[in-house]
Amino acid sequence: MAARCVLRSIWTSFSEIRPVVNGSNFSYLTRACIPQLSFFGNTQCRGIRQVVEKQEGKTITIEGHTVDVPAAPEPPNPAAKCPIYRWNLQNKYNYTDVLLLSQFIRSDGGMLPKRITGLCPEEHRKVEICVKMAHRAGLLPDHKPKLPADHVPRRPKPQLNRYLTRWSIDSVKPIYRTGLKWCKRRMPVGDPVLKNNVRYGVKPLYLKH
Amino acid sequence: MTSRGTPSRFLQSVLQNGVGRYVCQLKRISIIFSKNAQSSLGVREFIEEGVVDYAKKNPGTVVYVSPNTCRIPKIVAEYLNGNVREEMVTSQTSKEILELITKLTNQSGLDIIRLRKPFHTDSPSIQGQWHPFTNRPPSIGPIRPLP
Amino acid sequence: MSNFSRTAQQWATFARSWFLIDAKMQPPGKIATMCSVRLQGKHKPIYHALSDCGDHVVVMNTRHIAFSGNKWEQKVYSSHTGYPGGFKQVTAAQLHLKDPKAIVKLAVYGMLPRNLLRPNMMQRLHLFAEDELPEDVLANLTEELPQPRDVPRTLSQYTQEERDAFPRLWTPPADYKMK
Repeated sequence: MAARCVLRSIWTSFSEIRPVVNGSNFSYLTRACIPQLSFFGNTQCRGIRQVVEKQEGKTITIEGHTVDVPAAPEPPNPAAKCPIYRWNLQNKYNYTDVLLLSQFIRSDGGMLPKRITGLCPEEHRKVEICVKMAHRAGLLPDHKPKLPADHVPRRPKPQLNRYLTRWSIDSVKPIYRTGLKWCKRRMPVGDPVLKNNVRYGVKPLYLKH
Repeated sequence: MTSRGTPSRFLQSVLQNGVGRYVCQLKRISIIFSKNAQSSLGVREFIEEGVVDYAKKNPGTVVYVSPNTCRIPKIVAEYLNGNVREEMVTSQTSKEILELITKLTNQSGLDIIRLRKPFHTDSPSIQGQWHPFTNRPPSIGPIRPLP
Repeated sequence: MSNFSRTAQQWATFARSWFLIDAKMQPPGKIATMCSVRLQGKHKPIYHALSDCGDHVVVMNTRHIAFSGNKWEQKVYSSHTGYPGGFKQVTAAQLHLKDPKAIVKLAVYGMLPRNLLRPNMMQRLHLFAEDELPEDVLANLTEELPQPRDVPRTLSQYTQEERDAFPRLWTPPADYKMK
């Protein structure tokens, strides 16, 4: 726990000068911790803030700079409020489009709130489901909750490849009785929310295998 | 019961007969009958009505009409390849005998046995038989280097 | 034609070729359909049910197959030992941990025709859990089949240029502290 506190207290967001002398005032700092910017892993190319760390003798200065966002290309439908509608991307994204999905998630993999991203509720739900399926397919390997360095899982999970996984892994149970031929218990694949997606092909969409 | 043990041959014709010119393979036909037996009634009728027409129509075939003291009238057909076929025509009508003779005329004289395939060629395809590398696109190439 | 023997040609026609399939991140059912067609020889123009003209198929990376949906937990493989109370049911994940070749093997076995040739066809299926193949198998391979499912790229596999080239759909407000 102490190590975590130290780490968290180091990354402060505002351009304040904080002399770090010894470990005694760490707990104080942690308690007085003002809004933080966790900055592990890679920058999510969102680039609004950047932490600059300077060391002058015994003093470490940590500053947060606001980085100017480079001018983006003009969206085709700029009047819309929802980003998906602004770019005319309704029903055109799936769980494999990780470049799109990574813009709507935090660094630990959770969704950003829709009052911030401006997604309409329907699209927010679709993006959320796509993000879930992408996580389960292992397409977002760097966006995971941070665990302490000495964390050892109690039961090591086997690494099993999967895709189009609708339900969380721990919540499903094996289907021991598949049922009779005319009333089989099927295994869901994919999500019915995404069934209106644009498909290029003649194959029908099977959501139940 | 399978027919594997019976004699068989491939589909063939004599010297590609009929590809350019057709030669009737029936060489000689002799009609053996009795002058007064009841069983030869149809044969006698046929000789009265049809045998002259038949001989005129098939100038390549020699027709013998041989009255004989016999109970069983028969037709003996000899072919160019040496085969001889005997057919009994006991108490058949003249129409049936005409059909039988026409059939014997049109035959090639080869043995009538089981055909192994309903198709045959003496010269198989020029481009060769199929094997796993025919028509294989060159883009497939060799196996990539495996780790 | 006279000095040309048909024997070599016959051997060439009925020669068995060896196919390689990489099962990495592939669904086992699609792998099994490809295998069963090749094992029966149905991809050949000379196919006949009575002429044993199947090919050899080598499947590697069977440990790294991918199931869609929640099938690792939901799919159940049943067997009976023959003794009273010997009915066993294991999920796909348990079976896979016990034997990484079993799922592909069972999938192919179920897709082959139920006749006396099925054991012989199964003998021509060579499964390898990893991508290391023995030398004698490597020497026989003639063709690698394309993978049935195209594997999506993970976010870390995209280069920084590709990420920058993707348009930014929304810009966060200036005072929002991104976690």
